[in-house]
Amino acid sequence: MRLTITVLLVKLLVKILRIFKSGGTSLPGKIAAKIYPNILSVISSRIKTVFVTGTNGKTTTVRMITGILKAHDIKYITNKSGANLQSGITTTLLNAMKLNGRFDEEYAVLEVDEAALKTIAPLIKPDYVVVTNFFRDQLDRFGELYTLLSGVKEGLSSCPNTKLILNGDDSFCASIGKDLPNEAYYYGTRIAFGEYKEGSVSDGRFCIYCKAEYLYRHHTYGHLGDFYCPECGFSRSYLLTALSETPVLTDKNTKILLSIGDPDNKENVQTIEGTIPVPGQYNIYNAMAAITLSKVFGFDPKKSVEALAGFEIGFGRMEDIRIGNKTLRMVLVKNVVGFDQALELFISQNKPYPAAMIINDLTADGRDISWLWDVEFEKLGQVQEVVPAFFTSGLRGEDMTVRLKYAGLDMKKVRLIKDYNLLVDKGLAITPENGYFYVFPSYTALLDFRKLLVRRYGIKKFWK
Amino acid sequence: MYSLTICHLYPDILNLYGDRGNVIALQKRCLWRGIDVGIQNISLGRPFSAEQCDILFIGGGQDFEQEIMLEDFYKQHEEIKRYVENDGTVLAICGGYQMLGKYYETEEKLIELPGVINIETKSSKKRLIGNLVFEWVHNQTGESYRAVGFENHSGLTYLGEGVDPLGKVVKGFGNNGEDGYEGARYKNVFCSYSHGSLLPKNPHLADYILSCAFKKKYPDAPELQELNDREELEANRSMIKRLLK
Ligand SMILES: [Zn+2]
Repeated sequence: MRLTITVLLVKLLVKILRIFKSGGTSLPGKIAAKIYPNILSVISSRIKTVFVTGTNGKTTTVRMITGILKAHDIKYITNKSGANLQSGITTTLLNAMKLNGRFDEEYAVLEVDEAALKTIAPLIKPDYVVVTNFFRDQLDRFGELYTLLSGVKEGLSSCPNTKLILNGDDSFCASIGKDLPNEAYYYGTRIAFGEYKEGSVSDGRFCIYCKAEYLYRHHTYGHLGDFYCPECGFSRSYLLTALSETPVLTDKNTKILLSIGDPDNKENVQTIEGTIPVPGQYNIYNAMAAITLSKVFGFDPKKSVEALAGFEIGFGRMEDIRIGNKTLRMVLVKNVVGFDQALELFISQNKPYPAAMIINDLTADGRDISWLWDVEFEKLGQVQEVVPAFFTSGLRGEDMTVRLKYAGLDMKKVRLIKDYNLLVDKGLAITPENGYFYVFPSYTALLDFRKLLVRRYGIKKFWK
Repeated sequence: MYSLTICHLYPDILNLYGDRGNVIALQKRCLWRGIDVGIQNISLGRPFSAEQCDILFIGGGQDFEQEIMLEDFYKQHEEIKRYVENDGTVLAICGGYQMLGKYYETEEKLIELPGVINIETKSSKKRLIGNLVFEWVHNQTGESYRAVGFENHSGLTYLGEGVDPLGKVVKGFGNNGEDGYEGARYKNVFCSYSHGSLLPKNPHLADYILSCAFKKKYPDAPELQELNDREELEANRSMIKRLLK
């Protein structure tokens, strides 16, 4: 009875909040937890749960997983990317629950904030946890990487039956599999891709067990790659899914060749060609995470890879908005490695496209913007002859301008425009026909910017 | 032609909060004035030489990685001490600042440090996190300036005899959140808890540090020429306005 009332109340609250166009996803969950403290434990046993956590790629990976489920006609629930804390997850689950206390859906695929996992995992005891990667990120919120990682391990230590899907190329993720008794499945690369630069390993350079410096058989980006410790021997485990040939990256998609193993029979390896319909090196890892999970579900990997080709990117890292015959391409930037990758994508175009960097410093963005000094804006120098303008904006637009000045860019091309409307006008005005206007916003800047685009161009709303 | 060498201590380990922005700022502000700059990265196992350094920069790192580097730092500290006593210019931020002291005390242990300057740090349970504004005075001109940055530390630092604060806290915590002081000054050593990075949007402080190094190497050279700091000062002012309203 108490459950029915709580479910009813949450559904009602969600409806009311939507009427007032407040995308608020946390309040109903908070209230539910007040009236029914162990509600998450009670309801989560009634549906198969998948957590996706880690620093980068959570939202996209969730999207890819749900895309694969959809291709198999399996019903699922998922949370909005902003609702990845306990209250938002509670709201998501209760709002989907029927009044009889059951779910119509088979899976709940949930993005979970990596710092919140510690408290959420013991409550829900998820069936599967996918960990994408760990990079330094918003240190004012998450603290140091090692503390964050211990928290994740602590949270998972109460879930011995949870199956883990881990990025084998990331020594932090791999250490989760080593330290916990859980069944663990890994994905990673058998060849290098991306442009590895000497000194680019700034996180996880030293063995987490013995502090010796890791060596690599090959690198991809950041600290990712086929690492091993020369002292204690800690290294990658068997990869269930592996990228086996150099991927072909274009500005629209990525062609990959995967070899997918069989946990029961390591000899039984399938080689599958696929296309990820979004650019960016990081999406190769996201795709492999989703494929590995689907293999652990027992799906035919071939069908999963095919499903990815039809994957539609939504509210996530990158979004294209057609305005007339021009495209405004928004790429969310949250941390050093993400911004570096976004710039890499922009530079690889080498076209006369304008770019805008919109940096806020609210809690969800990270209040400390020092990390902008670790992003390689210097490499924009390669394209500044062709790029018509670099706009800066946001609460920290002034800091962004200073960063570009010290990156050695021609200051005649750098313009601070605080007003988003004006920024859109100016940017699109100098975007060539059939070309792109690249916008790199921090998280809350993305939300604001998107609101403006909804108002001006009537694109689909955040709340569908 | 004039030239300065900036030595960056453990840039591959002490690199947590974008502190390399300080090195970039010093470098660019030299180059814009026609002063040649060499940057020397001093990683583990590479000796620091006082004779080959005009500005020593030390940033902060994660606890796990700082431990790895301490052993090496012990081997370097005598040369660094000699450099400091001989009026060498140093900028040390956060973990780098703490490292120059006599010890770092946590609940479990006391980490003895070489004591390049007379300061002590104790860890606290609460992390001091947030935007930081402090006022500092240019010793030569007597003018005061407001610097803005971001602090994130759990160590509380206390200055001993002979060491002056870098400035007074206007907003934020500073050294320990108690005595109202931020950072440390000893001879030509500048220490601060401010990330941001500190120097790019506090150009007066950047030039003050630069001029210490420049005058030591070229005592007869003219003063550093003025630069156009429009963007830097705008970034400084806009943050101070937001924080102090
Ligand atoms: Zn080891």
